[in-house]
Amino acid sequence: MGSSALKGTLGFLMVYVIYGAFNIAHGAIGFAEKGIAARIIFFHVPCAVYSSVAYMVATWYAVKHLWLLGGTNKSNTALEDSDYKSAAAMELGFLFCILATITGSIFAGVQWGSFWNWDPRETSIVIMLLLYASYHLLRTAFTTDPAKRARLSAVYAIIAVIPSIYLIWVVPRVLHTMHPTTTLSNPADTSLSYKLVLYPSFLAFTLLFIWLMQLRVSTMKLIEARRKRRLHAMEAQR
Amino acid sequence: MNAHLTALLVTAVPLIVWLGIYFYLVRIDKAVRRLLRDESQEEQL
Repeated sequence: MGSSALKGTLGFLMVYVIYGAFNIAHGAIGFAEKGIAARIIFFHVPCAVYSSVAYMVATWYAVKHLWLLGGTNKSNTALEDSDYKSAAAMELGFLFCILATITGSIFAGVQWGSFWNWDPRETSIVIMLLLYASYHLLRTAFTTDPAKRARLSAVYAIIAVIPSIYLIWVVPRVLHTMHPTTTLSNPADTSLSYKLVLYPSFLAFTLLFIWLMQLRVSTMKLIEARRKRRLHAMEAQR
Repeated sequence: MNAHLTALLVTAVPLIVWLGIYFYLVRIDKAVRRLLRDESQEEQL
């Protein structure tokens, strides 16, 4: 898909999702609040899913980075590319994690009567937020040495994926949670009017994720190119 | 107020927010592409 096709489709799809959320989807069965507030799930669920998908994407590029580093043909461009993609995915994961926490908290206030209940999924998202925040703190500690920063953050991403998998997939299935567990896995649990909005919403968030990642990787390349040029200029002055 | 009007009003707020974010991102995207193009041209020189 070309870049303009991606942007055009995303713009149209998100407008459709916003319109559909309030005008196509009917009141949800089993929700305490059957009016407007329940529609937040069309934005909360994709944000929550993408907060974990982003982690997997980041880990994939972290593995690729270390793999390239251990290989005989160490291309600087390929090494930088995998590092930027891993870091960009981590940033987006952090953003989606924050959005999922905010939207989830609003919905919890409406549905369960309290904005925060320490439900297993709520607890696991707090730990996910801390994992993401630690990654970014680690990166800021090595701004003058990009190679070391890339290496250490790749190692961190790979190590931290283990607790993240445990928190996302295991904890909410082992402990009692107030969150519904079969909304996505069992199609019979979701009505047609909800599917007509929820599935396009996933597609829209997928396109948004791809676009934001491309954009962030490009800005990282620009920042690095300018940093290198500044270093060359300083060396030339000496 | 009738339900349709309420739904339309509630739709308008996130719609305006989304369109604001979308066109802001389109502007940033254009600026980044231009800067990348300039960067590669400078490298060639």
